[in-house]
Amino acid sequence: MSSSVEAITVLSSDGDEFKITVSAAKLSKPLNWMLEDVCFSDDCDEVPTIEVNSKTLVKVIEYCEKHAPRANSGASDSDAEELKKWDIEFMKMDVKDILFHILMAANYLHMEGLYDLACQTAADLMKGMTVSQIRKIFHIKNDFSSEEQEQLRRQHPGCSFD
Amino acid sequence: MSLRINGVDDNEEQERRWENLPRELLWDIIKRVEETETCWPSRSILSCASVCKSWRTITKEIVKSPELSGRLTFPISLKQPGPIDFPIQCYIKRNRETSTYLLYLGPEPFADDFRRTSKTYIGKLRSNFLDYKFNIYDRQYPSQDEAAAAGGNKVSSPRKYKVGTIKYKNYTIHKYRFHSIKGPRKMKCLMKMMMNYSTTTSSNNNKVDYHQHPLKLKSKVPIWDEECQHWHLNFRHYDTLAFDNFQLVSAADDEDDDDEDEEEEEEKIILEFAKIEEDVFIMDYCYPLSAFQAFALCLSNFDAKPISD
Repeated sequence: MSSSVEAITVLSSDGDEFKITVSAAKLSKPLNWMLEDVCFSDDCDEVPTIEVNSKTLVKVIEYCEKHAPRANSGASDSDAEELKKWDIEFMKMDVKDILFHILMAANYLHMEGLYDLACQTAADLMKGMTVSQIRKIFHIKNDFSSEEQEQLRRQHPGCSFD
Repeated sequence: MSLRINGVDDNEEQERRWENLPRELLWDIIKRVEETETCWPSRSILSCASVCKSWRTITKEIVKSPELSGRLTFPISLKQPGPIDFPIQCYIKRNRETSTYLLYLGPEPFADDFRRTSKTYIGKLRSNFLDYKFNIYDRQYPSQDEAAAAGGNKVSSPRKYKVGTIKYKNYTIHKYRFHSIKGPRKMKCLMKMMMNYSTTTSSNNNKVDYHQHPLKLKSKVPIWDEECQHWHLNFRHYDTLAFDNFQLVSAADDEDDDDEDEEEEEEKIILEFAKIEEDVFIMDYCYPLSAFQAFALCLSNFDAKPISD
C-alpha cells in the first residue's frame, strides 16, 4: 500500500479502535500535525490514542465526517444552511454526559467549529431559565450556604437562588 | 467494531462536572449567554450568577458595569452610572388610569415608579407640598460593618438615603407669561454621585457608596424661535417643543445667577427627556447619572405643576 491512506485508525481512551478518514481528521489540529509527522500505512503498528471515551469519540468522528467535505472544498449557501440544521439535530444530546464530553473533546482536539457549537448549545440551554432550572439541566449542586444566600440577597435586592 | 462503554464514572465526579468545568470553557459559555441576550432583565445571565460559586465568579468577571458595557444586567445596574460615550435609551410609558409610569429598555418594562410594595422597590421620590422641590431617596441595606456597629446580628432592615434634590424654578413661567406662551421650566438638581464603582461587579459588598461632593445639574436653556414663536431644544432625534421636554447638563460650581444663558451651547447632555407620543417619552441618560436617578428626574417632571398655569 502507498503511504497516502484514506483513513486512519485511532484508539479511544477506553481502548476501542475507530476509523476516521484523513480529510475528517484534518479538522483537528493535533490530529493534523500527527498526520503530517507520522507516516500512516497499513503496516504501521502504532495506533494513536485519543484521550476521549468511545461514546464521545463516535460523536466527534460523526461531526468530522459530516463537516470535512465543506471544510476542505468550501460549500454553497444552501449547503451551509443544511449543515446548520444538521448541527442542531446533532447537538440534541444528553447534557450531563455527552455534551460535557463533546465540549472537553473539542477543546482538547482543537476543533474550533465543534467547540463553538458546544459552547453555544450550552449557552442556549440557559435561555430564559431560572437558577434552579439551570442547576437541573447541568446537574449542578447549589454550593452556597444559606447564610451566604441570605447575605447576597440582602446586598442585591432581586437576586434569586431559586 | 465493538463499542465498549467503560464503567460508569465516579458518581461524585459526574455530579460536579459542569461545576468544575475548566474556567476557560465556562468563560466561553457564559460569555455567549451574555452576548446572545440583550433585553433587560436578562434572566439567564442573572441566573448564571447564582447557580454555584464557580459560575458566579466567572459571571462577575464577564459582566461589566453599564458604564463600560452600555448594558444593564443586574438589578444594581439601575443605580450604576450610565456609559460615557453613548447614552442608554429608555422609554417611559404613562398609564393615566393608574397614574403609574413604567420604564422600558426594550419591549419589556423593567422598573415601575418605585412603589414601595413592589419587590423591586429601590428608592423613592418625594415632593414638597408645592411640587417644586423633590427629594430622591435610595433604599439600601446597611453594610455589614454598620450593621455590626449597630450591635446585633438580627437581620438589618433597609435604610433610606437622600441622594438628590431637584428644584423647579417656577418664576420663569411668570417671567415669560407676557409672551402668552408657556415659558421653559428651569430645573436644577444636586445628585450625590456613586463612588467609582469597580469596573466589574466583583466587589463583595454591593452597597453603593456616594461621593461627598454632589453633581450639579441644570436644565439646558431652550432657544426662542422667532419664526415659530416657541421655545425649542435640539434633541438627538427630535426637535420638539420645549415645555415638557428637557435636557440636563452639568452646572458649573460658581454659577448661581439664573440668567446667564448663552455660553454653554455645546455642553454635553447628560439626560434628555422628550415626549414622543401621547403617553410615551424617551429618556436617554449617560454617565454619571444612573437609570434610577434619571428616572426619578423624569418622574419629577410629570408631577411638577407650574404655579402660574
